[in-house]
Amino acid sequence: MLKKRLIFVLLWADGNFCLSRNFRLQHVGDVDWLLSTYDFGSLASSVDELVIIDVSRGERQSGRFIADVQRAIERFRLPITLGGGVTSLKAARQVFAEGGDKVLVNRLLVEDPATLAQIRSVFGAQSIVASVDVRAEAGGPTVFTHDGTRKQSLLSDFLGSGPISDVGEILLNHIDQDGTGRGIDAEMLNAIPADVEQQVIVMGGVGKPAHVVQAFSHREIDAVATANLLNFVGIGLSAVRTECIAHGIPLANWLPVSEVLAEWRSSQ
Amino acid sequence: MRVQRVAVVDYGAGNLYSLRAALASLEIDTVISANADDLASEAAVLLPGVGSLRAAMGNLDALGLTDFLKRSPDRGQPILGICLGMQLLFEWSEEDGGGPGLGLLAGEVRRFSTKNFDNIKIPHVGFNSVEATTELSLFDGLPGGSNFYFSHSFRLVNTDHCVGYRSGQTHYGEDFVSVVESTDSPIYGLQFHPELSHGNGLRVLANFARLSRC
Repeated sequence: MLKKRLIFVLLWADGNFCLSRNFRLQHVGDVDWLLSTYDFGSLASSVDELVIIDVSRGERQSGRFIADVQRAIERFRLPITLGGGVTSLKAARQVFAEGGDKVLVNRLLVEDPATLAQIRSVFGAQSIVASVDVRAEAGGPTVFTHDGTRKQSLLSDFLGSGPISDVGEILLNHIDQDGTGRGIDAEMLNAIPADVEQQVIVMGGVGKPAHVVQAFSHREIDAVATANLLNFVGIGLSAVRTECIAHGIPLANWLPVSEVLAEWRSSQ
Repeated sequence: MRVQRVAVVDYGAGNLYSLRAALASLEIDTVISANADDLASEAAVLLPGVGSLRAAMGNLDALGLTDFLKRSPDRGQPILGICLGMQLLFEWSEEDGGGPGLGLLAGEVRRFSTKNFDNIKIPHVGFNSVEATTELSLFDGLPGGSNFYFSHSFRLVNTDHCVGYRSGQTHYGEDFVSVVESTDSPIYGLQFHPELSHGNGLRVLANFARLSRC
């Protein structure tokens, strides 16, 4: 049986990892801070996957982003999704060459579906995650692109649009709930069509374990993500995992990487 | 003497970073090459892959690697196919209008079907369980039902034609074959990604390295 997933999202901008509230960024520390302040490597025992996004608003420094990513993921043996500013096949190729197992796309969905289709033909839909940002509007949950500044269509329509068929997973983020800790937006969850063909990851508003359990009560939800660096790195995510398992949500489990490596070394 | 290096077939099939990193954590170096002589001189060969099987076979043909891979049982050199690399080990795949694989093992690869099985999303992405139907050497030290990361739309169809190998099964709408080990030659296949499956995947890679010791 396919398991549900817990995903941690790292937001990176201009050399620092960030907290985000309603898409406003607050720099909290660089990669040295991340690795030294928290036992960041221990996160691997509580999350299924990592997503790392370059959310720089100005000029991007992709070399620095990749260098920080490679240091951050060094001890992890799990799927890594990288994105932020991927608008060409060349940029996608770079993601896959430099540590990404999946590529996150956003603007391509509305601005250049032909390039998205090209990335799919080379790497396959299972390697592409659509990042879809949602805001509450009078007509219902509505998709916005360009860091939440450009209005597109209703979420339910957007998820049925052509370019979405080129991706394997959809990461839904709610701009109004982002960083608030008030829980995943119920209207957004309800607006996801029951026959959606892609895996659906939801984020935006997770403040306590019960919020994750609640999101998983929607059958269409395959994974829940949080980017809340201060609340969830350390003990926080293992508490979420425990709470989910207590509620009968099927999550994966694994031998700890450190245990397998220790056993391997001693057998040599 | 333990294996210190393995060869990875580089035929332009995408991401090798994670595989290389996982092997490096086991202190196993990788020689990434599209040259048959380089590949033949290592203790074992890994055949990774993403994308379509027909495109992959086209690339292997163009690089002159098809015969090299088909002859791996003659050399006795262990080969491990991962994801598309496992599918390449079989006779035929229906992907992109259909085409032959390497034919090292008996079986056919087809797309998951939503017609017969409700509520499955394609591609199959995420962690799922592997039940070993017989004792698999790659699964030494792993309990039955261990979880691994999958990311694929095509799978080996489980039929009476699947002979000549031990297998492990995974349930996704149906039971499909997610692990194979030939009973005649050191040929192994994993539909999941061991390099993305936390300690479970590392354990499988370590077992393969152990089986391939020179």
